[in-house]
Amino acid sequence: MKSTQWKRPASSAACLAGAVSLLSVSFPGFAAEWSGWLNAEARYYGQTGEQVEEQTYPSAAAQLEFAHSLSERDQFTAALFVRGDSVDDERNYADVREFLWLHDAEAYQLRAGVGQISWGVNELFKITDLINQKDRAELPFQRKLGQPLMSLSFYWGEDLIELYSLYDVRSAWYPGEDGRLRYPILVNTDDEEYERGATGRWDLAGRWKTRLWDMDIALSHFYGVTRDPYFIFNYDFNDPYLVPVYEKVNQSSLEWQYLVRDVILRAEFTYQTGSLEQFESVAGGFEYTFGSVFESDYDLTWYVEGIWDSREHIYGTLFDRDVGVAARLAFNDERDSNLVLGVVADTRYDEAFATLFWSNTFGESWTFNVAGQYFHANDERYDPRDFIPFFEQLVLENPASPQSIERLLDLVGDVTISKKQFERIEQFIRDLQQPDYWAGINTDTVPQTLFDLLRISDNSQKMNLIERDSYIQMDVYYHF
Amino acid sequence: MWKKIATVLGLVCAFSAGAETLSGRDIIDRARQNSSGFQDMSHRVRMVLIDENGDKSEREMLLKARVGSNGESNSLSIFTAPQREKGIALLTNASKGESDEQWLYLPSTKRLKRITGSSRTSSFRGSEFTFEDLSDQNPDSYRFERVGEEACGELQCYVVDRFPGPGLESSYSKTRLWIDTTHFRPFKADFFDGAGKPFKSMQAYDYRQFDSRFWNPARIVMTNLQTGKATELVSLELKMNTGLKESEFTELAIRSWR
Repeated sequence: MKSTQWKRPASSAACLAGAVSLLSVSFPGFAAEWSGWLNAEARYYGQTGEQVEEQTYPSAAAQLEFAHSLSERDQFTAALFVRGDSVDDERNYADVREFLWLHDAEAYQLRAGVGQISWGVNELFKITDLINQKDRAELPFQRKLGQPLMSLSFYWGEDLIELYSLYDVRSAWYPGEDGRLRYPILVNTDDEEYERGATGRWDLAGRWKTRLWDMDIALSHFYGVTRDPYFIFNYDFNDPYLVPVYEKVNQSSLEWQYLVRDVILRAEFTYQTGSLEQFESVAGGFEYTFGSVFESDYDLTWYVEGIWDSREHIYGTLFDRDVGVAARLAFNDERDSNLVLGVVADTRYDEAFATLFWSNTFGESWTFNVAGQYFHANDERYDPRDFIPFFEQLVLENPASPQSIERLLDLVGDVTISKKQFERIEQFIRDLQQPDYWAGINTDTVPQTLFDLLRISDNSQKMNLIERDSYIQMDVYYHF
Repeated sequence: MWKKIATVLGLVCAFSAGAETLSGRDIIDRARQNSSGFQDMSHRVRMVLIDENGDKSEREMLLKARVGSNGESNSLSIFTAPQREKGIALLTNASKGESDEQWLYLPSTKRLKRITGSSRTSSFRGSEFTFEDLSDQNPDSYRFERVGEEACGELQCYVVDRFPGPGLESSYSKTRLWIDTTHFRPFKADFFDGAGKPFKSMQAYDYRQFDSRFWNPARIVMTNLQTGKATELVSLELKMNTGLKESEFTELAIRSWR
């Protein structure tokens, strides 16, 4: 049954490309509409980075949007995004945010193409929202990469049911050599590993949104390739990099939202299984608005949320057991001025980060934003003097001595890793015990690489890797 | 953000009635009577914010509202201009005896977000209208006094003072209303602040009749007498009882709106 559902929209989508140009002629009543925005951005880091001296990152972006009604019931929308960064080459990219045909029938709605889907109720820790890959190059904004998909939505009584078939995962973005907010060892997005399950590149998802008494509830399930890869080291010391690994997972989630007078209570719960691990995660809190504070038109909204994740070691996210508090001051003025200040603190390690966001408009077409993030890490930083001499000694040994092997095993013993990583480390340690492992390798950089790997693998060090990357950023948008 | 602007523009409709000796409350009830008389409306409105130097900024919105058979109502307000704000939508569902439920849709994130109602005394998006001005003002929450009658333009108007009742959050200590004696249409309102000083003044212009019984002003201007700023609401197109369906006030409908 699922496969027949796919086929119909797929054939319609295939006709679409040709139909778009034809229909603009045959239905002159349904006008095409172009719009979009241009953006100039300047980001300034307060300090030089661990690996990168550069502090000023000017960049520009544009989004071009197109909307066209094909008939009373059919419409086509597209949004193309491009970013050019003057420093980080990896940040020169384009993305099809949307390229979507939408058919609105009396009883259902069909979408096919590339779309943007939003799940979840939380404001700070959005753990159920996983259909689209996050656009990590556009942080701190909540932009997402376009997801190829087909979806069928319909009301069943008051309940909204949405079924999705998703084609492939968009690979996560990581900064390049000249970029900031990165690991000391680069992630190579040209060398990715995928463990796709039985359905290959096709993933499935469904969501059921209902009301129970006065509560908003949504149940959803996702069977597909994870949007948050883990990393393995390539063990090539002449060209060291991290390989992102994407594996198929099952994630079930529950969203809950309830209004008690003027307080919005909300929570999200997820349970995920994959070949790497199974874990559950819960995040939730409340939102409350004080209207007309300080005898003015200002509204002050507080957001308080916490997250608890059962994993001991998390890849690709800073959040595992954290508490976040944010305040938004809405000025309710003709310029739509808004100020947001937020702090997220880790409950396990002495680390936190703060975010600032200011936004206002001017004229008919302009928006001005200031965003900033401040990272604070107070956990003891690994001291290179404790490790580098050992690694220097290791590269001189031929083959590695039993004492060195023992110390190495000790160092990696605390790190929770995937089967794949374990096999690679095991192989590496076996190789070290063979003669001439280091032959042909430029051993000058190896001790630092090993030390960097150790820091990346340790959860207590995750914030101090980016501690020097606090920044402030200004964005100007022109909308047309 | 913005609340039930749809109701107000329905509210500023009036009903023709014979002149007799009416109390302040009677006049208000007459003026309100037909705001419940329509099944649905769809109204395109331009809001012009004029600052103290005369500089203008404009927004346009589409306001759709519908009253169901059980007295439940839905309203959907969608910003249509400027381009920057196009597609931002506010959905309000109200059932009898229950508090309103509101959702805000942001096209940039495709997210429909549950929100709580805004404070009554807050400004609607920087305009001189507060949410109180734009919301359905239940006469039971106010006290009315008939002051007299006087000429207003070419017409004769009842003059009625309105005071907030105990426990009602209001920006105004008193509102003086001018309502015409033939069709019970509000033409003017003067608002007084907490200290009793003149605060704002609202005028309605160019009433037009719809469906042979609804009256709607083509233009409403609210002037802040203390700051010199003003906001103008211009009715661009008003359609009533065109048979809007409940399905036009849903998440799926917002998603496919163009």
